[in-house]
Amino acid sequence: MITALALAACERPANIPMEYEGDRIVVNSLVQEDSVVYLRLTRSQPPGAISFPEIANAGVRLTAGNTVLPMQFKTIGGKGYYVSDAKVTAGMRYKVEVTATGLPAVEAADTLPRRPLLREPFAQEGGNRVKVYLSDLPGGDRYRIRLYKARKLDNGSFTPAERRQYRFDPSYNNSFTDLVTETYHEYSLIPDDRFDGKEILVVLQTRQVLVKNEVLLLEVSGLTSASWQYLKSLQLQEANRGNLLVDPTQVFTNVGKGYGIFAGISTAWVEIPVK
Amino acid sequence: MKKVLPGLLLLAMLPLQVFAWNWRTRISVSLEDQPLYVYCDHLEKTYGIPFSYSRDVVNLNRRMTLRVRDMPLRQVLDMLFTDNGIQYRRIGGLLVLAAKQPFQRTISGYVEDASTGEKLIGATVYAPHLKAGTTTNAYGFYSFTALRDTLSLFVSYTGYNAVQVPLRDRDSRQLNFKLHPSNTLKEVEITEALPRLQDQTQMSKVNVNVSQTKTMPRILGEADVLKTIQAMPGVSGGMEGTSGIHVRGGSPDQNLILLDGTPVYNSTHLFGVFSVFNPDAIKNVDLYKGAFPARYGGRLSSVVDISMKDGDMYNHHGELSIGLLASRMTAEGPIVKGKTSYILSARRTYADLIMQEVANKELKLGEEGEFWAYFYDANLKINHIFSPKDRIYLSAYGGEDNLTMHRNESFDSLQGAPKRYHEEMRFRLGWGNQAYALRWNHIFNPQLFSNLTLNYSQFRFNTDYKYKYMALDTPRIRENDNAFGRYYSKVDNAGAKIDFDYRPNPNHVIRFGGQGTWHIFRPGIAAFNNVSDDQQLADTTYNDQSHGGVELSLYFENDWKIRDSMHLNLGVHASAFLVEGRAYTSIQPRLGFRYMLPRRWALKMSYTVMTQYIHLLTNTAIFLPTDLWVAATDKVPPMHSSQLALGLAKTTKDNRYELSLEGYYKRMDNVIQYQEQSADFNFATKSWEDLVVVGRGWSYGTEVLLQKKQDRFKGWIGYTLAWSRRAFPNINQGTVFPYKCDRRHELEVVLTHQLGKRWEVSAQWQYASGLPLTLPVASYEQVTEPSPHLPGSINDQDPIDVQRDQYTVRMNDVHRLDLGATYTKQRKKARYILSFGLYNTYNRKNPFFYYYKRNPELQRRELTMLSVLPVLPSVSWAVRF
Repeated sequence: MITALALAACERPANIPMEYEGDRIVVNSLVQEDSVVYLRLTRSQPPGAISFPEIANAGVRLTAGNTVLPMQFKTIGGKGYYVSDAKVTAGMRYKVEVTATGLPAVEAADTLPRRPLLREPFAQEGGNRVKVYLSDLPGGDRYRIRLYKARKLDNGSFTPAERRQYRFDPSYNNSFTDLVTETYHEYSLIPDDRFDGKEILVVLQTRQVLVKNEVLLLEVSGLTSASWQYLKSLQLQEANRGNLLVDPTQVFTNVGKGYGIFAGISTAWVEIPVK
Repeated sequence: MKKVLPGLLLLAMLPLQVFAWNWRTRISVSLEDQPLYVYCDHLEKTYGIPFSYSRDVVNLNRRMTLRVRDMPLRQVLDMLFTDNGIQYRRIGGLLVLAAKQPFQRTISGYVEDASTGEKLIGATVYAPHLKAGTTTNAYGFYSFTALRDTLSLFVSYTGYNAVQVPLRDRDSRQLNFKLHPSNTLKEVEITEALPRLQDQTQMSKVNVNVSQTKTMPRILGEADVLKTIQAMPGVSGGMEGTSGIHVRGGSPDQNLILLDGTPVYNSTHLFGVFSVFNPDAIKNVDLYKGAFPARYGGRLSSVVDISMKDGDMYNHHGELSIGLLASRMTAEGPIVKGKTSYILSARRTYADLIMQEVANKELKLGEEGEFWAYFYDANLKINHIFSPKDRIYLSAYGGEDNLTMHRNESFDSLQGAPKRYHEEMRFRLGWGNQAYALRWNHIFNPQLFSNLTLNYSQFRFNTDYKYKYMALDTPRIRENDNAFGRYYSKVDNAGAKIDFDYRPNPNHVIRFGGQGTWHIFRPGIAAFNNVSDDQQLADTTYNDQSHGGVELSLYFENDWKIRDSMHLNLGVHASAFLVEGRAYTSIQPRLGFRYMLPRRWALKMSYTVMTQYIHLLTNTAIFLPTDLWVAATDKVPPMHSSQLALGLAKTTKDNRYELSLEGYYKRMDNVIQYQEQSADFNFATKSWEDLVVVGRGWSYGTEVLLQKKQDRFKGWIGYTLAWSRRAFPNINQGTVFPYKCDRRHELEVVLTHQLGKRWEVSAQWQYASGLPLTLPVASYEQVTEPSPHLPGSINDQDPIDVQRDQYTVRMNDVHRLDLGATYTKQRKKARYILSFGLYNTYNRKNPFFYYYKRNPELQRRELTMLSVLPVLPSVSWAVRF
């Protein structure tokens, strides 16, 4: 019945006059421990836009506690970023203030979360399971999990080369409809509500059969409250886009008078050679 | 002598003065609507007729209109006193008045269908010469106290031949009336005399004609009483094609839906497309939009009181029906003729039976795989007459929506790569209601009727899976999983209720009673178990908690006829809710007033207060079975509403037309809504209170309903002009904004016409202003990577849309025409009915949903309107025997 209704559905462009809040500064940066800060500044646009002008001549002030961290504007992969000279370290509060001509000045701040603890990764040729132990510490933690196919660098280390899709153990995220609908994801967001202070064996079912001698990289990021709220609400907005039954989701922002996110994450990487 | 003479003259004149009247004295009087004592004063002053009586014994407050000229005194006295239970005698020169003992009697009993024994709700029992009467209650019982020499009673009901029954004796007694249906085939010849609108103090009430529901146009051939309710003024249906009802700006969780007195928590199948009530099993539906009688409580915005049929007491009957979506069957008949009857009805959809093979193939379920997707419901009612004074009813309802998939298959590849494995998976998703009621009617005396109800109802949402996976290339590949998971939510309530209906005299109808209900809420419980490679991975149970609460209530209501032109309904509903050490109480006045204006227009007013102790947590645009019921807390207190309504109503003299105009103002306190930015929500953990905001709501508007209820051509036109608003501290900066189902104008035209003996055609046209809509006010780039050197997503990443204020713009207006036709053929022992329907006849593209869609040619996203439900033909066939 529902399928029949969907088949019978008809789409056409709508002509409804819409409000626009006006251009604002968009601050986007996930501040990662042991990495420089990549800060991207763009302007918001009327609803429906898909391209956003960069703000290249902004006044940017990044501080770690009371220390100002110098930043340089660089173009990476065709996109402009303000990049800090120094790497981010744990235990500091990072704050960014941005000014740009004709736009309201904005600011945002966050700290860094603790880094996840992983051990004993396992993947087997001809299989489609990736396993790793995750040791959760007491207290509220939130995680983002992603899986990559790795590429070996000249120095012998591995770097992420390609995203891999998988489905997560439904015991921790309720997504057991993934088993039914053959759905695989690029990332999972899970809080530790169900395993606070315990060690769990994380099992990822990969979409593709694992190939011998391939190396996978598992990325597990600890998230602060701000980065969790941002990523979770973004996930909901994307998942519910075009969903008739759900009210639209507002994506979290911690940028005062502007949009975007400036929030900390701490990532643990683990190499998983397929045996 | 001078002193004696006047004295003698005086003595001589005294008898002349005292005996200046006799029984033939000619009297003229012209008074309108005056009490009897005014007539006595008039006779005494004008004709010198002295009266003697005790005010404690003789009631001279009764009002009368009398216009006579030169009429003999005895006749005048008969007209004044005989019908009012007063006797008179001449003692000397005095006219002595005394009360006739007793001068009243009570006729009581049931009104029922002569052929089936079905009790008729709302039938009129009327004494024509007294111009007074009563109606049957929800159990078909009436009690009419009138003067002892009442000569006859006139009994009528829609669709039945009225009867006039002479009363030969003068005693109080039980008298059951049997009315014969007036229709042969569908040729309805109604001689009804339902209480005219101007004779009812009740306002804001609509009685839904179930037989008309069956002849109205239908979606996919399914008649639906909730969709008929949606076509009434003051009721909005929300999204197109759904059966949700929003009454006078209220939300669907604020509707108390009762099936034989038992609450039904989720009233829809198929995510709101069809209602759970099978019209074949329904006898009567009353919708209260306001002016709530004191006996109802527990919800803010409406009461839908549905009564199931009782079952034929004398003959066995059956009905089979086949439609595009579902098939139905009904059987009814006597278990013990004239004493015990039953009715059983059931329906089930069957798309899954037809599509089983296709589904197995498409979903790779394997040869032993199973696919089920259906809904069903079943109603059973048994009713037994123990004695003329005692009846018992057992009602049961069960219904469920179910999706089951079972895969049991071996595979030799995964995503195109060789891999041998076996997968067994069973997935179930379902929800449903159960409702049971045991009711005992007892007549204590002709004036006092009681009903004792024990009931239980449950709504449950459940989803679970079993997943077994085993790699077959063992021991080279060691992979096996054995997982189980379940998520469910549930609300149960069990209750006892006693209702009394006391009718001491025609001027008072008194109802009182009490109720106790035990609620148990289980708002989202999950359990998971996963064993992988013989290693226990997880064994979690989440939010395994239940909350109990007791709701107690008492009510009292007096429908008081102050005088012919003025009625007052005084009621109060007092309730308490005891939950986890806390107690909430509420006193809810229920007041109604009716005053007869010239030309038989009734002016009606009502003021009612309602309290709702339970909340529904929902973050969806429509109400879904996944929504969670929770009890009020200190932080999220019970909801309250107060509603004031004012209206005019009239039924024309020939009973053909009814017209009512009503205006209302409703205020709602402590309504809830999810806060912006709240996460997705499966569990009402202890923190649920932090995810909602508590606010206020207002709704006001005007409703007009013109109905034609008789003859071959029937129908109604309903128009609503309404506003519904909400305000929450953290939403839209605390400003007032429209409720999501706020429609400014709604017009409904429903017409049915009998063509000859076999055809009945119907049309329904609806127009409504657009619903409020939330659209983004800006878009911006998203970020998900801490470094630009990481590989990006495989999928396109859409920008982030900024959702700011809710419901600032409006969708386009909607309108639609539906047509229906029914062909009925009567054979000797069976009746065949063929129904056709055409939904959305002119294929109007009404807005259902708006969203942004990427247009690759224009390199931008366009606001796109989605329409569903185009023109949909339907056909169904039924046989009744």
